[in-house]
Amino acid sequence: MNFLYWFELFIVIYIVRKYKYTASRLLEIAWWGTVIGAILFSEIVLRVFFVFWITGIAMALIELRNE
Amino acid sequence: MRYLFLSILAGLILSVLWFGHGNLMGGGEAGILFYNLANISDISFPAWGNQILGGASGITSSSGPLFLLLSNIQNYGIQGNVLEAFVFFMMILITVLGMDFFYTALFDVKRGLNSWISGLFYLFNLFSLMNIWNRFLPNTMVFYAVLPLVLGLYIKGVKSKRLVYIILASLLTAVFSYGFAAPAQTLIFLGLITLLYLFEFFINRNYWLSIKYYFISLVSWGLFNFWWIFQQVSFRFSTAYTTVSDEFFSSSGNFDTFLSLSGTLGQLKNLFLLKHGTFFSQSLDMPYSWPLFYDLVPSLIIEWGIMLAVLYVAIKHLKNKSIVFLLSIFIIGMIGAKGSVPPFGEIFRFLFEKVTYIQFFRNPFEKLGLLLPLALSPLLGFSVGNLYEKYGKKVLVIVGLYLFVFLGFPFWTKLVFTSGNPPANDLSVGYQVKVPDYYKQADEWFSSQKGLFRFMSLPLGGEGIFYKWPKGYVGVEQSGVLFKTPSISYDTTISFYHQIVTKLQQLFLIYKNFPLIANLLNIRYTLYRPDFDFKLSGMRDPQSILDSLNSRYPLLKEFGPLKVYDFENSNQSEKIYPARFVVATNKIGDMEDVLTGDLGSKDILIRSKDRDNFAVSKDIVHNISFFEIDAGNYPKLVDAPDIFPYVSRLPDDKIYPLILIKEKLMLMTKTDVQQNTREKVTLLGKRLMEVKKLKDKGNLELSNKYLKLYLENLSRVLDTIDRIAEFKLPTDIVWRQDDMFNVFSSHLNVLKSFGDEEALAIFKRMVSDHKILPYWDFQSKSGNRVVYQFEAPVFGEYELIIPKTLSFPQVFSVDGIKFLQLDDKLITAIPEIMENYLKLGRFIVAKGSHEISFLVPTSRNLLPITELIMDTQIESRREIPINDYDPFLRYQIGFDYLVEYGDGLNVDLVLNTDALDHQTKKPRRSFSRKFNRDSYSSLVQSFSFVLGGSSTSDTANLTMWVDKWNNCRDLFSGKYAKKCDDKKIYDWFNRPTRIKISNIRVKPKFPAQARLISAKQNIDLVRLPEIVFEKIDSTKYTYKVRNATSPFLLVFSELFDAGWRITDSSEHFLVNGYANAWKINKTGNFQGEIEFYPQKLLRIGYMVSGVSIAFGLIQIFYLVTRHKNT
Repeated sequence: MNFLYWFELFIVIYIVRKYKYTASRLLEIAWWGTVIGAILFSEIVLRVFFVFWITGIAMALIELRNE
Repeated sequence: MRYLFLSILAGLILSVLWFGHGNLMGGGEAGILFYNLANISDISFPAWGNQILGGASGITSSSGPLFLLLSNIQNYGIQGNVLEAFVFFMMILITVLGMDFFYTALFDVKRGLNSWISGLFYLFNLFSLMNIWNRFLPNTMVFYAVLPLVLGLYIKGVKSKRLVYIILASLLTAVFSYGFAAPAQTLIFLGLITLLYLFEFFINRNYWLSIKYYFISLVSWGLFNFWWIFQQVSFRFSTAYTTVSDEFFSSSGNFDTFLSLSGTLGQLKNLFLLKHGTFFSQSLDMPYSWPLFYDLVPSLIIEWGIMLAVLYVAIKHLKNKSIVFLLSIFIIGMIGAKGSVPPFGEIFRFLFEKVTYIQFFRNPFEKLGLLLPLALSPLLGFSVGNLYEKYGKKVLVIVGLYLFVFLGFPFWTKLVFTSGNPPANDLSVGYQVKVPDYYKQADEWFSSQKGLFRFMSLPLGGEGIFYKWPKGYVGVEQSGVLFKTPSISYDTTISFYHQIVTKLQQLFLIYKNFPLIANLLNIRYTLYRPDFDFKLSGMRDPQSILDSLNSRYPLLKEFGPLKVYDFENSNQSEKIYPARFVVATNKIGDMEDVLTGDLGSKDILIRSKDRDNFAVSKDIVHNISFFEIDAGNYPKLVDAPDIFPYVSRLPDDKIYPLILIKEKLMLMTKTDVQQNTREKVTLLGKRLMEVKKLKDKGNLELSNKYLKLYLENLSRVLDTIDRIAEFKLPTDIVWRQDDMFNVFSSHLNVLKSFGDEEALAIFKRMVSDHKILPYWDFQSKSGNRVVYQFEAPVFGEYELIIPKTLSFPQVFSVDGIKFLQLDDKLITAIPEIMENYLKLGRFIVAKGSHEISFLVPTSRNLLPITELIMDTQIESRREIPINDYDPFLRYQIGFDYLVEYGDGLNVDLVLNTDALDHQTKKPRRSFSRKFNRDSYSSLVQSFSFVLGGSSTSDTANLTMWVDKWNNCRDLFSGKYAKKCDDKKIYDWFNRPTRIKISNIRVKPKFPAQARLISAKQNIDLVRLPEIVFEKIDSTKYTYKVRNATSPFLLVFSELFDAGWRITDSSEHFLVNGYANAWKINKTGNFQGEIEFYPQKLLRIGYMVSGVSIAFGLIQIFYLVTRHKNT
């Protein structure tokens, strides 16, 4: 089932590009997802939103470089 | 200054709290370093240490200068515990101030509350609590403490464009090399500075500066640390390293560990909170089960609350480059620490399999988890500063309570220095250690004895020991610290050493002439030590050792409970001597060869593969495999689906290629190498079944084609089976031996039915070469037969012997062995019991593979009774002693039972070494099982199993017992279930149990080890030269040879290493399983040196590092002066 995370990554990248999401917006989603994961104490939810953390920080780096 | 003062105060308070008791602290893998630093320095400062059988310092040379300095301070009369307290104080201070500095350098601000809070969080957090302080590994502590300071200096250097900080940072890595030298830590350090400069290059776009400074950072680090890097590189290519890594570790073993640790410790719900997966959820046996406090719901709310607040503030400041840099480290740390766990764990997994160096991270959480507090500490400091501006002082109160009370309480209460193992599970002891004075007296006495010798400690066990000292110690065996004189006191995975030591105690117990073995190991005395918990330590009861010692050897000295016995071989055991006769063996390190080969004084053992270089007087050939087979039922056919799966389509079917594709896809889903291999074995069975069905259909052409394919696949699968064995010692058995025997015996059975002699011969040769089945068919098809496979090195006359054990051969009717089958011939056996072994016959064999088999002689039932009635109204429990119990044999245990009425039968094998399980508070049994009554019928049932004796046990009882039948809990369920907790109510439902047990038997199995001993060759005994030698230091010896009339072999009884060089020869050999020997062709009188070559490299390394450091200091001085002037 691990390929689903890759699939998720592609979807996230697609949405980011299509709707012009900023790193800050993406990391906010990641943060709220982590809050939900923590409340539910669910490893799966945390994993799903960890993909957002990775993408968000990569984007933050790109944004810093482009400034 | 206020925060500096507060940091010093916190360090002082903690040091006083931790060391105020006046004792040392130690345990685990770290041991008690500060008990005698001179001994540690002797081991780590030169390139070769004399501990145990000797060993290259390799990686430990990085700690040499530090321990030399500390041991010199200790020599001035400063007590170990004071020194240890001071070192801990310094580490606390550096941990807090280092992170404080990292914060100020990164955010380019002045020291203040934020940076201090970062430092405090770096000291008190859930990662450091377990992985740094509770693990108690000094080198990890040093690395953890100094890493932010060093990184801070690099950052400061880059930001201020001042080279002085870069040089200072590299200089610090050399000063604290003890912490930076472990491979994983070196890789983390280099990775972090690479990340720093990549950030500078790509984000800040300081192209030229980042390249220049990166280069200077690497070069200065390399030069300042040259002495240990050079030593480590030379060790990496040494024999010791390659042998250890080849023999004891395999990639598949590392990979399994990596997968398993990733699974348990790589959960994101723990990593976000910096928590160790099992420590905080399963530490039931620690005082008050204190780690579980952090797993309570209120604690989890606090932990998540703080963590989410920190991350929230961080993501609101993404314009701040330092925040993004820290978040990058945090995410890299998370990805690394979770190992192979999703998401994207397969990247790490792929790298782990492909890049050897990544295998240093086989415990990813322990190694890479360190990045998490490194990134989160400054983020916490930053967040607190931010929230303080918004919400005022209440933020400080919350953070203060979080740090000092919530996270700090295990530190203030010393709970952090406790473990689940006694005596460290007692808060009043914890990691405190007070070594009894008698150890010092014994050490002084050994040091006062003349000559170079070793002693052996008995009982002898593995690396771990549980001492029963008033302030006890639990951790790695500490004879290397307790004694200056080298000793063999524990078994560990050092190449050559392990093979010898693993069997040494067994040989001591079995053979009265053990001093002959001790002589070859340069062991002069034995130290009896009873002051430890033998059950927990997994060692033999000291009393049984004492009985053997008292009956055989003179007691020389007593120090408290310690007793020194003399092996009375002080005239023979020399460190350097000329060899007399040379005996070749194919199993290196088995010192039993000294006795089974009847070696005399100064005779030596060499490897069979070196035999062409010597005039060998005798060959000892160990069997390479062993089988015990029911000849009447061989080859056994087991028709199970995992051996012969169902075949629905044959190769002549159109959709057969699709079947093959499906099989390949199925194989790809089995990523675990063991499961994958087992699946391949099953598919082999499928191929064979297809061949059989094709033959039955009369399609001979296709069946022959697929039989060929089967044999080709078989060859590949057998190679994989060989490869995946985790340990690769020659003595190791085949992977899943019983399973493989059943599988290939069934294949053989099917193959025989084909009548294809050529294919059959190929199959038999292949499986026999892989030690799975014997090659030759049995001449006699009845009874149980043992088969030994040998590889004779030369043509000649050999004698088959079986070495004795404590009760072998007495418990067998060996006179019953009438014939031996040698390959396909029958010869007469002539059993004869000798002092050290059982002789079975003499015969001539050609060079190459041979098999010897014979009918297993009958063995005695070792139980005094064979029948028993267990009745809850008469006798509900019986312990049946196993007479003549021999822990070095395996046993067939069996009985028949009939449950007349009531409950089932419980059977335990009770050994005198069974230790209590901390959690269940019951002894852990090597065998324990309940035989429930058959609910369908009341017939006599039989049970039988084979069990290996526990080599450390002295006595064994078979315990059988019955409980009253009771159905209270069946009748009351749900809300009424509690009724059965009332004993009175429960007892109303008791009904008697009665079981008839018959044919109870415990019979020893025939030993799996045999030898072929060749007839002694007539070799003229030349007069041996006289050798006088002198030890200059642990890496250098000089010798003088007189009256050498012919070439001879010079033996040097220190652990074999290619680094040892001698003046007069270059022909270097491994002898006696561990020692060095050189062929000396000179004659007459001459003198020379034996030197450990890497010591020269170490000297060069120290010189390069010394000059570089001096140059670095001058450069710093120059740069500081220039900066001041400008």
